[in-house]
Amino acid sequence: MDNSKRKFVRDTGMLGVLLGLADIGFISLASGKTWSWNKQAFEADNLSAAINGLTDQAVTRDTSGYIQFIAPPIAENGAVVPVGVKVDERVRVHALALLCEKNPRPLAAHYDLSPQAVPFIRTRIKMRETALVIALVRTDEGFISAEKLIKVTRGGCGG
Amino acid sequence: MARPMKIFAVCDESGLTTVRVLIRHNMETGFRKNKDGTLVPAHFITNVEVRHGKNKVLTAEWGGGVSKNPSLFCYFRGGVPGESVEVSWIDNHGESDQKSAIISSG
Repeated sequence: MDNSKRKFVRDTGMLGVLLGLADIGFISLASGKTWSWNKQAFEADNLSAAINGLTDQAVTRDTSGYIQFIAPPIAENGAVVPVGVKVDERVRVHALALLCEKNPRPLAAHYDLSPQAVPFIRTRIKMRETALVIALVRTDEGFISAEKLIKVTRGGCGG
Repeated sequence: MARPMKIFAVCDESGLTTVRVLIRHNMETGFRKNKDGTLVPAHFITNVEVRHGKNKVLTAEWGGGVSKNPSLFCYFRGGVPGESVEVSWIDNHGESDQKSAIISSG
């Protein structure tokens, strides 16, 4: 698990994150709280551009079955598709993104998790049409992803 | 809009706290058209933060792809019934809300 190649991936990943911070737009609240929103990734109009907005590292497919989707195979209403993503607790998950392949803006949500948080997120997303939903997970050892096809019988543009 | 959000936080016997947040918000993508064909301007929550005491448990960035009246479930360890969980959000118009809830035992 912890060979030098993996360590290289992790260390360079951290550098990438630091460099990436410079690109993130900041929104400030009157209370002085600072929020960041990854404009480049959220405003990307196709899946690969959205993923590129989140990372410039290679993303490997989750072949170990760490990522589990809790979502219906068929959604009757694309405006409200309940999607849960659960990652094996042995994996330290730093961040988790939910993307929908065929939406006009594929990136729906991005979560940063503290070490205290259990890597399990549930939310409801919009889906324009039947498409793959992708979970992109940043772990100690780089990015892994998994996907699930969700059939939509009625489109979600009505939001 | 501005109806207060709902937060439910329950800690089970194993020490796992489940936080459920329901927010009233239109979450307009900016792609939807009115009946007269004009686009409804984008208006959606961009950030949500869940805190347990001084710790940020989770921070979320959202786009217009999150459903209207969003819900968020998250789970964390280290919570004790009686402690509080605080949730805050802001949208792309700068509107915001924050609220806390006491962790109950479940």
